[in-house]
Amino acid sequence: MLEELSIDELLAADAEGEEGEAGSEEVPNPVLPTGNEIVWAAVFFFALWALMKYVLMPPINRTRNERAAKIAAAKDAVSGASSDVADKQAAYDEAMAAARAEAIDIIDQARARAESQRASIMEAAEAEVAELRSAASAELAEARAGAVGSLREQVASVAVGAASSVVGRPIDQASVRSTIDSVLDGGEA
Amino acid sequence: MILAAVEFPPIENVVEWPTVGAGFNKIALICAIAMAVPTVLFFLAGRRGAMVPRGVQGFVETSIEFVEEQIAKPGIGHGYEPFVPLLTSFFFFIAIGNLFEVIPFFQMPMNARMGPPLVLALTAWVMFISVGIKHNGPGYLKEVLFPPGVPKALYLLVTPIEFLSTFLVRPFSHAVRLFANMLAGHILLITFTVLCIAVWTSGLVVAILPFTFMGLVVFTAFEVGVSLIQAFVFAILAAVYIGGALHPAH
Repeated sequence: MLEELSIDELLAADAEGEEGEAGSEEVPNPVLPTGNEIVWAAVFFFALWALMKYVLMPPINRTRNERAAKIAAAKDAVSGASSDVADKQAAYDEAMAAARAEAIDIIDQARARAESQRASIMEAAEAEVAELRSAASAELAEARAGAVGSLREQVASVAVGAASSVVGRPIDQASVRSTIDSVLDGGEA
Repeated sequence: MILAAVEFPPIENVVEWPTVGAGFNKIALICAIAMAVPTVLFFLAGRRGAMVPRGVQGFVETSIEFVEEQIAKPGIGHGYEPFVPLLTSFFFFIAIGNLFEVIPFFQMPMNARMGPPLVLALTAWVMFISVGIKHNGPGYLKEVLFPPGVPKALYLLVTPIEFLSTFLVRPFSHAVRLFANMLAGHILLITFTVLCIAVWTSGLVVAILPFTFMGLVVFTAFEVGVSLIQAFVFAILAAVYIGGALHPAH
């Protein structure tokens, strides 16, 4: 039905309709506030505000404050614990340093004692070695003197025998003994 | 052909609602729900009182923190705490009232009528003037009307302007900003709805309806954002006005 009308006819019909409506009842201004809406809006908003202020928010804020206090207390506890840990760490470090120093002292003392013991043992060993060496030298000298004496006797006997054969008469060994000893000692006869 | 099928409803049908007694109409019902919803939420949150907030309590505490951190502290500054209940009430009352723009069967934002924004703006107006006089004495009016540092001759010009802007225009602009935004959004959604209906009844459904319907969907989502943003803007402006009265030297 509407599709068959021209634009002019539609506009004319619309204008007639508006005039008719304006004549029959007054069109309210949609921008102006109405009393009933102001009153109801005020009632509900002020009720909400009062409830928020005196009933609804205090318990929530109390919970939030308690939580904040707990968090602060936990933070303080953590801070205290950290301080304790630092103190204990410092005490531990101090004890470790003392133990280390004591250990170094003990090691030094042990080293000195060992050095001293080593020196005394070495000294005793050297003394013993010297003593043994001295005894061995004496023994050696004695053996050597015995050997040399025996050798002298034999050389003197051989020399006297040989000389007796050469001169054709017996030679008194005692009379030529000093000469033989002088020759054996590297001197001249 | 399409224009012939478009029948935009009369404006009084768009914003005016019948009453059921004592002037209680659809707007009053939305006001009641806008009061009841935060009341129930906050009551449940306060009753639970768990140290680790979850669910409703988490939502409510986050909302309060949002109002404190994003509205009260930046707007008022030092001494903001007593005004948090008022600002929280502003934010929730306006946001929930606005969201009825997209809730089926209601589809009418509370603040697309001038009554509720006017009440809220006048509340903010009375509050900031009271706060100014309470905290600064009558010197508050002198501070506002005769700003320090201005040459005395200019007071002839500045004082009437300050009087008009602070004490007369401010509540009006505060209310109208919210009202006009919500009314415009409401009319926009109605326009696209009417267009969809008109296109549906014409023969161009396949060609045009997807565009008009998408427009309706997009603007509906947009209006959800506008509803929340307008609540935030109203609350932060109220906070700024109160902050200006509390610390006029700043």
